[in-house]
Amino acid sequence: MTEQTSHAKPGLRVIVALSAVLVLYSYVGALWLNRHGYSPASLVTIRDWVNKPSGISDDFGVLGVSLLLMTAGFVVARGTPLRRMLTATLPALAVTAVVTAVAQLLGGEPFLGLGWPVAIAVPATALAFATRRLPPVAGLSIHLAVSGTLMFVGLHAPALLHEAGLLAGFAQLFVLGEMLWYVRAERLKPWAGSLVAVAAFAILLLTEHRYAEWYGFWYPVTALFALLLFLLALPSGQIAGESALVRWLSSRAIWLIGAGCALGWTILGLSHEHLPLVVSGAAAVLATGLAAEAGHRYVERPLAGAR
Amino acid sequence: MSTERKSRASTVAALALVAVLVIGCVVAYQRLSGPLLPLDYRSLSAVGEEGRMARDGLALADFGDSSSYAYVREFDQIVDMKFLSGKEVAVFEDADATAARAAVASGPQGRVVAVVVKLASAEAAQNAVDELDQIQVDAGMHRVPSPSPVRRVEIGGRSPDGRAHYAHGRLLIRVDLAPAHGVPLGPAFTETINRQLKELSADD
Repeated sequence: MTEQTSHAKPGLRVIVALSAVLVLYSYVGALWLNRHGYSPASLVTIRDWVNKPSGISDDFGVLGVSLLLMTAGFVVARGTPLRRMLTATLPALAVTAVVTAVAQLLGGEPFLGLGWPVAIAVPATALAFATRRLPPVAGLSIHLAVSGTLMFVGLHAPALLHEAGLLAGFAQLFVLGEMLWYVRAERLKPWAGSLVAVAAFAILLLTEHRYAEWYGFWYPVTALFALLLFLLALPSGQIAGESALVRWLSSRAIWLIGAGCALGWTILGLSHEHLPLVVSGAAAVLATGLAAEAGHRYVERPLAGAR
Repeated sequence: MSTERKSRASTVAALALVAVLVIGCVVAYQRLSGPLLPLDYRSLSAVGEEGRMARDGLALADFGDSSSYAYVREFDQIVDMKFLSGKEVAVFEDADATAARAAVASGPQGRVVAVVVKLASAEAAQNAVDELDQIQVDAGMHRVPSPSPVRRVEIGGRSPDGRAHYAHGRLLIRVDLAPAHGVPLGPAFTETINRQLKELSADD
């Protein structure tokens, strides 16, 4: 590969680390607070001065997920072996599912609302593998055609197909990630990449226009910010990507998000009525961090064969 | 040696520049921020789960081809539009009206004037809805039953008109339709109200 492509790794680390922080802030922080009757002034101030003026909804949560989906597309297009990808994601997802089930059985309240990025990444990855031997432009065209068709078909369809149509809108982020790798690896001309991006954003805009569920969230704006951040972080994340914090966050990103949903929410829910909110929050953050570290160290690394 | 000195000098210069910029920002903010109204006066604070949306909290529906009233941010600007009577303005002012949005649109159904105004509280908004509705009835309009908690009044004759008021949290929404010639008021007004209800639902 070219020199340019080999420099992608630290930048990717920055993107993944940022995604983990944004997703945790949005879903384990802001959303939990709102659903339990809290709207702290600091949260409202950030919304009033950053989220609303920039048009980034969901307290940056969907921005974080968008960056992760783009990273997934980028990594899959790069030709990362399937076994490596499964080792990096499956243990964290499986442990999260088990902890979530246990927490529910014990009367806790884990967060169940973040399964949708997985429901996008899995079929998108399968489609990417199925079209791997085709020229990039053909593979990307098939992605766009499939997701675009699903978006149109799902509009007035029964619940499950309707949900699939909504997810097809977000699948464009995966396509954008793939496109960025192909352009970076010089397997796709920049003008062709730009056309793919235009088509992906057209599908995003149509999804927003046609699906009432997206109304008011301005997800195409979020997707645009995700694309800009990705383009910015890939070449300029060389220094930040080597820092210990970014390395820690990026290597444990899925564990952190999973632990935040399964454990963080449960701990906050069980403790906030008995302890000051700050203490509950600190306990949830600590448990999330420790669980992510334990999962990475004692489950993921042994499975990957690392010391 | 000289390279090291140069590098140190450039660091000092960069730090000095940052310091000057920070001081400049602080001084400019202190001098210029005085006349500015607090953000809360011109918008709805992004509280609760609804605050996670990107759109403006004081959302108005797209009623079609509209004259430009996008500049409206405060209730005073609504008063300047001069479509509210003195009694109506008094009701809004008694309820501490602050942030507001307005839309004036002409379409095949007729001319729509819609406003959203932020009041002191949800209770103040409900009370203001009752008072504004009563003002319309006192002015000769008749109440029309509505399935939702929307207060709806209409008047027929040569210049038919329909007005609806409802509350959404601490927001008061007022929708007015003067139907185009030949357009029956009832169905057209129902459609207009429903369009706005999709943006901001009505509280019970």
